[in-house]
Amino acid sequence: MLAPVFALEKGLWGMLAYSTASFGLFLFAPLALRIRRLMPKGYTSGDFIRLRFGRTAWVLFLLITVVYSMAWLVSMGIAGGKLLETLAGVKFIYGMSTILGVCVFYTLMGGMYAVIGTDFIQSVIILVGVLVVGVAVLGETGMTEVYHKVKVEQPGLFNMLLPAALLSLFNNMFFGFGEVFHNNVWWTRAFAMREKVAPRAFLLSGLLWFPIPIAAGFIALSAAPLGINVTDPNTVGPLVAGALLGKLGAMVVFVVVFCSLASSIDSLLAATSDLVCEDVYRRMLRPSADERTLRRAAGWIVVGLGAVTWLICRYEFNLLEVLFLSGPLVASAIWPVISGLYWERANRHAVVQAMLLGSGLGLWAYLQLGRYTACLVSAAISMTVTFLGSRLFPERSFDWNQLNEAHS
Amino acid sequence: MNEPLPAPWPVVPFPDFIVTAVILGALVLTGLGALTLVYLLIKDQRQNEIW
Repeated sequence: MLAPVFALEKGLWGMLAYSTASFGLFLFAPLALRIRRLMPKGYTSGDFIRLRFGRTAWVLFLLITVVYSMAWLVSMGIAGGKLLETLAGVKFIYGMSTILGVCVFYTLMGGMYAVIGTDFIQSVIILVGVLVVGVAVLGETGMTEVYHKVKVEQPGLFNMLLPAALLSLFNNMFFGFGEVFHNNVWWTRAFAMREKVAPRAFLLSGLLWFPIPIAAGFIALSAAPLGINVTDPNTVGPLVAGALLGKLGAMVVFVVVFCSLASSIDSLLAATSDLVCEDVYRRMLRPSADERTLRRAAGWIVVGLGAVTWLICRYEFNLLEVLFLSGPLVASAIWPVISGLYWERANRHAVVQAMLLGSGLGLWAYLQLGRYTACLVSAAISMTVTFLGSRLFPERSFDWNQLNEAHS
Repeated sequence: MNEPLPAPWPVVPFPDFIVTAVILGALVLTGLGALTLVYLLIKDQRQNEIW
């Protein structure tokens, strides 16, 4: 959804910046194997932080991950509403309510099974749709024409030293690392897969994701050579497809964008409800709850998350602001997760400080320096504090078997 | 009077062949990705491991 916007604003580096999210998936592949081995009965990423670093780190981590997941859900809800409003003339509130309602409904009915099944189908539709429109653009204009037109009219987009674009490249990469390493969306998949399958699946999904923002960005860049007037960058995909392939093309891209939004929303609803149900409801409120009660609670949590998202979405906040404001929070969790998985003497107090200082100074950088500095500052501070704190005040060697107690 | 302002940052464009290689490479990878997913789906339908 944001890839064409990145291409239109930051050119080639912008396209690659969005692709760097796949590096997080590549790096998560070995982590997933380690997670499966250390926690064969694990259930959530919160379980790991609680068992590894104790209660304070756990509560802070939950706060970070819930705030981030809500920011992601809200930005996807707003994007869905805006998309339907711009392309189909549907009032924002109805479009947004529809996409949230549909996702809440099938997540509630089918759970993780439905989420993964629909994600698979949605991925096929996204890949085929982007390919069809990309090839159509190539057939219509050709690479050389696109290159020369953009180079003459918007030379900054192909400038390899454009500062904002370079910053966004690395900022997005760390945002992606933070998101994949900490979020329960990816941890639940790691727990659910067979040990051998997990690393291969994350590698493959990284490979599948990598080219999509570049291909989608190319479609956006071709708007100018095709003589298309883009008034709202969010709608450039359907506009180009409509110009080349008629109404059917615009429909294809519309479905592609809708699929990409729905696949994020359903995954977040399922994984966040699992996290809240296990880490908040069961661990904090009802430790004696049986399986049936937990299942019912998880259902209510999905509905509750959908309702809270709907209430916040009504304010129609700026999409990028909502999403990127949560960037420094997740970037501060990169090193706590890595050190927790591999460093047996990592210091739990250092990890708490790393998340607090990383998030705080990252947010300060976001507000004072600029959007694309936040994750860089947060990850750097968090890494320094984790490393120095654990090096200067090492704990007793952690017994990895302690992690095997979750959900037993 | 209408002289352009000096650029605050040097503009060093990516060469044509790099842009072409990146974009064509991405389209080819996208196609391969779609084929891989369809192949996995067909394989799974036969072995019935997931669905």
